[in-house]
Amino acid sequence: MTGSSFEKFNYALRPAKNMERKMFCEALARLSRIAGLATYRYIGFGAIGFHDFCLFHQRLGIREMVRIEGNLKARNRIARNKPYSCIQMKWGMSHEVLPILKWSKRAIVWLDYEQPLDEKKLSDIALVASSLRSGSALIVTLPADPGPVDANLDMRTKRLADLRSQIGKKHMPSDVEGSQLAKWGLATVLRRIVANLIETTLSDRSAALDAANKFHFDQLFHFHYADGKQMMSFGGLILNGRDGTKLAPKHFEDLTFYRPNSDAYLIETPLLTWREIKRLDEKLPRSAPDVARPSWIPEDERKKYGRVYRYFPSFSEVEN
Amino acid sequence: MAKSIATKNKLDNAMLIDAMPTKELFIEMLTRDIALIPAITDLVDNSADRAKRVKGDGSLINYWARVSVSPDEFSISDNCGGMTIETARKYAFRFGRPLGAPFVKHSVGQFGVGMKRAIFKIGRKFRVESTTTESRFVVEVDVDVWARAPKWEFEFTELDENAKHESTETGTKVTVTRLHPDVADKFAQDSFVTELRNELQSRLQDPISRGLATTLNTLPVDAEPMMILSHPKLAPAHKTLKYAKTNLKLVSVKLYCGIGRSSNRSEERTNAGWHVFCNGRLILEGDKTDVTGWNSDADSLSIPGFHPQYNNLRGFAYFDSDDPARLPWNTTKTGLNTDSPIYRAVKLEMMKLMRPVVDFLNKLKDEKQNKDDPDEMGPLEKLVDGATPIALEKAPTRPVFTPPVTKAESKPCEVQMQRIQYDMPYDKVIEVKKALRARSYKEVGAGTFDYFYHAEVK
Repeated sequence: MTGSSFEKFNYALRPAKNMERKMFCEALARLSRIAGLATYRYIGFGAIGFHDFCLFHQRLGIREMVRIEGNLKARNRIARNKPYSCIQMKWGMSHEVLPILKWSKRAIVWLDYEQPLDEKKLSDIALVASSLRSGSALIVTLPADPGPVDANLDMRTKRLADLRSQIGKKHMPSDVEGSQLAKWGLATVLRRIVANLIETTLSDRSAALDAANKFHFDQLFHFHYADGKQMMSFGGLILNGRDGTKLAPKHFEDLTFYRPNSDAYLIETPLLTWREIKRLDEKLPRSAPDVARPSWIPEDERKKYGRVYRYFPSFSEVEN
Repeated sequence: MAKSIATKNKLDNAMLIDAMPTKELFIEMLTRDIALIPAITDLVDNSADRAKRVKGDGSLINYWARVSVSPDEFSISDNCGGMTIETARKYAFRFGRPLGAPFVKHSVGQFGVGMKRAIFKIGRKFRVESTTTESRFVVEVDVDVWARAPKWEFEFTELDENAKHESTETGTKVTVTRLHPDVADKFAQDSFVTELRNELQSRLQDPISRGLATTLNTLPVDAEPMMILSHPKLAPAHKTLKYAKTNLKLVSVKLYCGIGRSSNRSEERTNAGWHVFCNGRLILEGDKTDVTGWNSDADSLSIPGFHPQYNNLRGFAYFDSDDPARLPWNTTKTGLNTDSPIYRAVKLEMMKLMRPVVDFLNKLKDEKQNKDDPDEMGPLEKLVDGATPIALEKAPTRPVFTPPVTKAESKPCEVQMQRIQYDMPYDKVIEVKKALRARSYKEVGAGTFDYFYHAEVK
């Protein structure tokens, strides 16, 4: 891996990513219907700030954490930034490390990729889906930026050819057209590719099992967001029939960001001052979701804030 | 009343069309899809199954099966308890296994075609003689005569239902004569006999190693245990899977994947890949195809296509069940039914086990390619070279194969490296080598690169 994105951005200051993490956390807390979260393991990549590790340890009480880190160049620096003793570092690329991990515990796995989807990543996803025990969560985050437009090229043909060459023919849904890959289209297609892969893998894995033991995937998340580049996060639970009755889709329906299908939840960051945030908070949640007042704050920003206020990061230290 | 039924039958018969299969079609179909060697192996499987009926899962010591091939005659005889008259009447000569036929626990015979198919494959005249402690029978058939007769029956030539025989006298002998000309040709060839011996040795490893004394043309066929390299750092991965289903017999699967080394180069390729066994019978030997996950388009876990750099990969999959119908084999026992639900699930596990081994062998290849001195072994190569092959069942295992981290590798890699290779005229290279005071060609390359980099880039 050359140059992780933590060297380009401060992850704590990426508001959509920050909100996404908190949303995952809120939803995944409900895994306790299956087993105490202290019995879970978290496997993630994380940035130099270990933000996801901190959050999942603090909020979910997960004590066994594995960080896979391929940036051997920054090995010393990353290791020295480890915030808790319960985080175990596994050095190497995910496709080298994942196959040698133990999978006996229930786990939350977040494959938070910074590079576009390719065959190695697809292989990671299949490996995790085929290894996680029932009651586990799998989240995949992928860059989904259709890239700059080159006026000299037919972008539809180019985008389609690029995607096909990245992921290989066998993973490409046959009905995807180049025109579907603009804007958030690429993100939507990526979700479908990952969802298909998980479904096929679980079907093979379950082929010889009784109905009660067969695995299925309950999708919880399909996020689109852009702190800079466009990103797509897809995730859900791997459950067998028994666990599926303990924790079912109905247990997530109250969450505004819950998305069980190809519809995406767009995480939008409102642009507000600290003072505006305080004013809006006073009216929430009563005025949600429209947040009609105060009228001097642009309606668009008010509405955006009304949707995400519980997850919105407060970066008071960066205020001028 | 009776009269009217008879009239009705007559009328019905007039309306009927004959769809009865001809015997020649059966003979032709049955034998077309099996090669000679697997057909013979089927007959030895039958002997082993009969011994298992007596001994269960235990040792088969004191049992023997003797195969003899010559251009005039084929025969296999055993002392494995014999066939009862009931078995002969109801099952052994039936084409296909009737519903409700009893299974021998953990048997290899399943489809009810093996013996007939093997006989028809070899020749046109046969004799089956079998003695149990309580009975004895002989069935002698001229296939040409039988094929012309309309009835689907064989007749006992000799039958003794109330005899008393010592257990040492029990056993079965199948003799086939009037061999097909091409079969007679094969049986005359030394190379065929060698091939048959090798196949019996690998395919019947389980019953032979459990004690079934097997001979071919009076020479013993020894079992060849599956070997794997034993070293704490190269311990093979081992996983046990169990597939239970209500009202069905359990299928248990044992998987192993690790590193092996062949004693000679010619066997290197044969031994590499996956060896798949069903109830002890080797079904696939050293498979390197998408059947066992290599370069499979349909699968999600990306395992590369087989390449000689993976010659050291050894995978073993043992499927076992008391009900052989639950196992993923085909009728000729030379391939797998890849659509079988159990096989689909197991294949995924096989691929997961082989992934780290493949990664390790890629690293081993890189190490061999990138070493400065071609005569010196790198740390991984030394590790493989220094490990000793031992029998698989004796090897200590781990849940996953964990590629060893060597000292050279554990040094934090400061920058991502890219290898460059190119050819230049020899004289010029020597001149540059002198000018750079380089001791090796590697230093010539690195020196010229550095020179350019500092002069023109940074």
